[in-house]
Amino acid sequence: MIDGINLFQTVTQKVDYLAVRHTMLAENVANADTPGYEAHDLKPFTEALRTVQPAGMLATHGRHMVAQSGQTTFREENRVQGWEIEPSGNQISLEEQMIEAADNTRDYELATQLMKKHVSMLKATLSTRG
Amino acid sequence: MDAISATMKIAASGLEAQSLRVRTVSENIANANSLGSAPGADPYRRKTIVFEPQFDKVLGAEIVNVKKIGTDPGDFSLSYDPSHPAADAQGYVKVPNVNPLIEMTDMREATRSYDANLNIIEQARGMAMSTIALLDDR
Amino acid sequence: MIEAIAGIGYSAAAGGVQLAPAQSVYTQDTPKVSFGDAMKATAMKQIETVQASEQTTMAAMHGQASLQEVVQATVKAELAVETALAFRNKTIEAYQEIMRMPV
Repeated sequence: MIDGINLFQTVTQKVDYLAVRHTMLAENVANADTPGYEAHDLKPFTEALRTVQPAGMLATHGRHMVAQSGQTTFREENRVQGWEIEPSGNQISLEEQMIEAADNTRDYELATQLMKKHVSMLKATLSTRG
Repeated sequence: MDAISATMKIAASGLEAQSLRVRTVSENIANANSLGSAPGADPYRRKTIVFEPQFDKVLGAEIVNVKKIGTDPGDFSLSYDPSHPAADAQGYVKVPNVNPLIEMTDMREATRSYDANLNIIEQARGMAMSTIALLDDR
Repeated sequence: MIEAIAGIGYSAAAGGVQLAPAQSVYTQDTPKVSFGDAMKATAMKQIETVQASEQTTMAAMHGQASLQEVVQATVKAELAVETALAFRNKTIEAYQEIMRMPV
């Protein structure tokens, strides 16, 4: 069952990651025609996991704060809600962003469905009735 | 603000910006042949729209903002039409600096971008619904 | 039982249906597998199926598993869990019924 706990933690993190990534993609799409705007993305999940900082704990790292003290922000330095950002390069086309967005949505659906399934399997084993 | 709500707000700013762009391009197309009324007067001058990124503190993200709607400073070309009220002494009339082909292309792109932002909102809505569905019992 | 039915043969030469003596399936050499062992083996298999689905899900989170792989593995696991539960419930039911029997 130790594996099971790790599984839930990872799936939860993936769901969080994908939600934040969709925000990045939304920014890129909204600013697709903005002169001088550089698109960015999150680092790939496996890589980003190594350096992710839980968003709630950032208040203790003073030098990471961009906003007024006492407020944790969505975005700071090179991170969005704890996940690291990397630039996507200058010439990003709208089509590329929309393909990424479609993939991202699909991954999100998959992750939430898997979460649901594993939870229900666990719940079933806990129940005493059929 | 949570990521999914922020996503929708960001895309909404994109919708607004592209809407204004569509409106500006429509004005240009509608006035492609709007000449002046007095001799030697200027005709319709093409309008331009400029976007800029704007960091929104509440969202913690960069939304898009319409910086300004300006005019295209390009020269007017001349058309020979001595009978027109706006004809100058030589019989030439200044015509608007609007190129319909460019405007049509711009309109197409603006519509495409608008649709893309709309898609993002739809996707975000779907993601929110899936998250809520986790609460479902089976 | 199939083998016993097979013992009923048709032999035209002998004038119709013949009944051969039923052959027992179980001979001296059949390994004796206890019911408990069989159930244990099934349970192990089911646990493996669930673990496999957990591993595949982890891999899918990291982009290492294909959509079909993870969905297949999860469906198998769900089936295994449901089967195990159905069996457990039936066993408990049977036990309770036996306990209810007047001695």
